[in-house]
Amino acid sequence: MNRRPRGNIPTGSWLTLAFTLLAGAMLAATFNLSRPSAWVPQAVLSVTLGLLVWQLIAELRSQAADANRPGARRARSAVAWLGLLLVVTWLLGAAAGPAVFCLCWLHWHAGERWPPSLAIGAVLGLALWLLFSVLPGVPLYPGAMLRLPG
Amino acid sequence: MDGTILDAALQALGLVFSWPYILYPVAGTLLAMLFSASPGLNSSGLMALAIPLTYAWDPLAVMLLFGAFVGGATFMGSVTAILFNIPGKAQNAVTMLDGYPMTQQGQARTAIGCAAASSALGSTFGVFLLIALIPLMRAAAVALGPPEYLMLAVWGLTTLAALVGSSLVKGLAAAGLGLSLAMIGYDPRTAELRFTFGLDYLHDGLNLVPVFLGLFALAGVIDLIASGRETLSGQSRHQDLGGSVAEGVRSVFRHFGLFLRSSLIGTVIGAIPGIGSAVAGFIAYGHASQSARDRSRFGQGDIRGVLAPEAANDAKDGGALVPTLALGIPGGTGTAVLLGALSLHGLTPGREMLTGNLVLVFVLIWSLFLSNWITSLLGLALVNPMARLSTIRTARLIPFILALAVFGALQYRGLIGDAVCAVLFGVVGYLMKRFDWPRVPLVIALALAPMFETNLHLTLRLQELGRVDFWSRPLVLLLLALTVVSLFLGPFLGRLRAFRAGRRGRAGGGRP
Repeated sequence: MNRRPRGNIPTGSWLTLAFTLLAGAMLAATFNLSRPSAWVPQAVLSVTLGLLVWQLIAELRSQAADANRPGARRARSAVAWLGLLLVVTWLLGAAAGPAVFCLCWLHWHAGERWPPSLAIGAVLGLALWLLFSVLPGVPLYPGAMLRLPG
Repeated sequence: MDGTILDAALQALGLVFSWPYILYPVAGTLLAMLFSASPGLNSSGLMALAIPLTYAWDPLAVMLLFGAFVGGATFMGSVTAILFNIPGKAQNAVTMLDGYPMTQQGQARTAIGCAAASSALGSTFGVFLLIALIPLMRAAAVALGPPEYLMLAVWGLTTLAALVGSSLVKGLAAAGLGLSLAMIGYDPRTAELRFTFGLDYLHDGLNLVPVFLGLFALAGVIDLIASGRETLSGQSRHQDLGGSVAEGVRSVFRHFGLFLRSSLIGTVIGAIPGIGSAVAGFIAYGHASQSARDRSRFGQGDIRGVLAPEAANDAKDGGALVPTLALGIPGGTGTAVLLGALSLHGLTPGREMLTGNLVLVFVLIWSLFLSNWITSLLGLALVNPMARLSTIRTARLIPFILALAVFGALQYRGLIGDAVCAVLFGVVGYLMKRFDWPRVPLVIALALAPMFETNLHLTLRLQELGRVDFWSRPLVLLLLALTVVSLFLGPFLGRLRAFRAGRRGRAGGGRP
């Protein structure tokens, strides 16, 4: 069995640590609440925090090396693309934002040529506008920069 | 069965087959088939994506669509398991053991024919057993009080936490995190704000729609991108299929006893929250191999190794609706999302639905039934195009799913915070998947938290007033005992899974 070098934190333990810190912060926040509002979350969070600390110690004491997990770089790139989708949607609204994102993804990530990327992006934006705004009569999120019909 | 139930069943049947309502189960089944035939995507993600589309729909259409999503997803995941050795869902992994060797031996059509027939007939078995249980479910739902509902929530959560995933501690911690996150916002009793950390967005608590979209749809897409698969099946060219569909269908009737036993196993296991259909399929497979006179062919392309798990997998859909509809406790991820969708339309499973909205309950059941048959029949007809579809480049598909997920989260309340929440939960969901943290207990805890907290306060108040005696109620004590048992059952099933993984590794050598 491969052994992990001493002092290195296993990659997966960062997630456990993040959950532990979140539970700890929430438990600390309960001390600002009145007694009737605090006791249920305190009970739940104390048990949860105990379990998370138990899990974290077990992971840190484990001698097994991290499994070889390919795809971390691709996952980071996926998260970056998601960030872009959020930004363009916030700026351009619920129909134009996803359409622009689709165009960018198809051209720069999937390597499609401009004409099909433009056409598919436009079809997506139009479909979202028609299906979710015009037909049900619901206004779309307008975006910080543009105001689209709907 | 009394006249009210029969009337409701017939009225619902008429509604399902009326125009234009018939379009909903058909369209829902086609969408579920498309999604579940794509490894890496799943029906829970599809259900989460569909929630925003149905905001303005009437509850009948919602029931028809979501019933079809529950029923339409199961069989198509088996097609990819049989053809490409990649299960559409975890529950289809067992089918790979004998299905893929059959494809390698030029018997793909036989395996798919058998899977389609046992799926359709298995789901029929599960649905009719569910209908037979409705009078009992109604009686149970009416008789339960706050102490029983409190213990049901505790039992449901503990069972799911203990039985889903590889680690009991991780499962319980995920459930605890879900409960804690559900407490963000106003306290239901004192109206005091909890855990908002100064953010206005959190005043109303975490909304289930962006959380579901993130944890399932977005996490699934990030995982698909991280996997680096060029096409959905991982293969660039479509291969010709051999064998005979008719021979596969006939094999179900040749082994009818095994089919009935496997369907019963699936229905019973489906009704227990958290055990999940993967276990149902494996137990049915284990039963098939243990009860066979000649076991030597199992793992090398035995048709019974396809029949048993497929019958159990589809029969479990009916069973899974028993706790969902009767008690409001979802049996798994799909039914948790279904519960979320129902609550958005003001439908509360349990007493209210089984007494006041019985027709809608039957609409859901008939839609599930219909979709299971549509998916099997269409699945047989569309095997070749589906096999071609799986060679589509993932890079062309991904922007649509990403855009739809973020759009869905945003359109629910028109708050950019919901889209940010979906993306955050997408990243968390991906990391949980990658580092073997179960997402199901977290999601179900989020869904069950209001039931838990409200009934906890009610029980304590009633106990204080001397209106109930918590410790003298037989069902409460039974549920307490079941909770303790489920905590011990978890490690046992963990060993069972390890055994299954070892066996799969020996048999297929492919990815689980």
